[in-house]
Amino acid sequence: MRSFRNPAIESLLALILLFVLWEMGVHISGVPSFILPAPSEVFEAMLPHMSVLWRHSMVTLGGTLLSLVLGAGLGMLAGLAIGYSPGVSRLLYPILGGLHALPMSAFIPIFVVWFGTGMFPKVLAGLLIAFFPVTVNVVTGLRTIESELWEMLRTIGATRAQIFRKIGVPNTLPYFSASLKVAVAGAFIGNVVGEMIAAGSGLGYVLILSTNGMNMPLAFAALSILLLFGVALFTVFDTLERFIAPWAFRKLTD
Amino acid sequence: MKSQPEATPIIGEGGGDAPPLFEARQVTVRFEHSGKRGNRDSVLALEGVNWRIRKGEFVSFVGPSGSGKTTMLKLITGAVRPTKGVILQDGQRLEHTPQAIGMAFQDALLLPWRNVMDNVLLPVEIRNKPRREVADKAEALLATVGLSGFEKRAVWELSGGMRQRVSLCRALINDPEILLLDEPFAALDAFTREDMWLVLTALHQKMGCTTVLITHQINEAVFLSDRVLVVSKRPGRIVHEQQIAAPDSRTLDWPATPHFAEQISDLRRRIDR
Repeated sequence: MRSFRNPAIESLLALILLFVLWEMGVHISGVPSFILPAPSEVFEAMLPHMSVLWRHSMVTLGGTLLSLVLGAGLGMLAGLAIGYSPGVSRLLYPILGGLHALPMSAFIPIFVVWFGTGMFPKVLAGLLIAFFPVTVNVVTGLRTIESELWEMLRTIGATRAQIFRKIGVPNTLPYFSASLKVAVAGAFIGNVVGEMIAAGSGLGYVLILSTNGMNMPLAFAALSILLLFGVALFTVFDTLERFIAPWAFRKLTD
Repeated sequence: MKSQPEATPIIGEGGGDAPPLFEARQVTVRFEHSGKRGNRDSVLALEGVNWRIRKGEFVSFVGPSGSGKTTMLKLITGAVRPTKGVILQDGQRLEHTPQAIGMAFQDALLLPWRNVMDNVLLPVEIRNKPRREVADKAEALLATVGLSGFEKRAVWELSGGMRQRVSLCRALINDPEILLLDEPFAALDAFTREDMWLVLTALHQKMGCTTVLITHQINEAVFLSDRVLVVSKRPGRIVHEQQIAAPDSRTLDWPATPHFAEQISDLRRRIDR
């Protein structure tokens, strides 16, 4: 049987090691704290603002998850449509690919003009970044049906819709769950940048506010929480993969 | 269409008096590829091929790689159409409608998210038949191939040979008129392959299903078949036809006999490499 190590604990150890190296580096080099504060100073700056930072963290986390759910949902729908229909693929796929190459954060000021400040622009930006990786992977899942299996099922009278439902869609699941790890980072980036540009709350907002006031320890406190979230979100979706498509992680026996 | 009397027997049309289920008459297949700069590349895969597959028969095609053996199967499924000549099914020109055809390949192509039973029942679902009606039959098939008690097992728990057994059950679950096997045991080790010969022999005896096997193992073709057709190098033609003389029951003692070896060497001489 596979040996089970808790990935969350391993990630936590890696984070602690990072903070230790950072602390040592700052003390050895003597960099002033308004350039790069040591983790101990960051922690000190964090303590009095705990409840405020918690509130802003929840705003960022909530926005990220909303972007992810909507982005992954729409990305999956687009991927299914593109994978199913060559016509839709020719029409949509290159355009979506091109849009993904644009920096979505650059659209945030435009979203603000259209929709005003607040949740909407940043969630939209996160959604747009999260969307395409999911689409690409779902399309791949649909396009990698074995040709012999396809031919065999067509021979006995299977419709395209049946093949997509019974083979295509389950076949996308390992790809889909892998894409969530990329998509969640995109949703996160969209939200944080959105908060930096056009919101009155969230960790991105805290970051901008504290750097404007040259409060580097607080800025790094916000950054540290962002890093923690990044690690946590990745770990969660890395673990979730094994539940979404467990068969894809089994060793073949021959 | 009435069958015309042949003046001289044609290679590929032997196999006794049972009516042919599928028949190829003067079939030529040319594949067109559009190549670089609009040049049309074409490959002559088969040329002037005749064969008859009779009801209940076990026929093997042997020949070198790239000789168009797989194309023979695709002519039967309708995935490839003759450039010249005609394929007949029960004496009628082949209709390209859903067929009662079972297929198995070198790769078992099982769905890893389904257990053994659900893999076997996939073709039943495609036909929208209720699973209950065929549950007993699926159990019986799995028992014939020695997989009783494995119904709920996951695919990743099975060995390569076991997966091929499941693949054969899946091919047979809808009572196909013909079973098409494209090098189904090529990826298995020698011992497992011999086990599979016995499994396939048992299935053929029990179901009586007309079977066409593509293989490049001459001993496999002799062991399993009623008749072996030798395909030439590209363009594929039927260059030899050999009726196999087999003992009443085909056991693994048979390949060790001179009688078996003679038939192998007869065939080997006819294959140009």
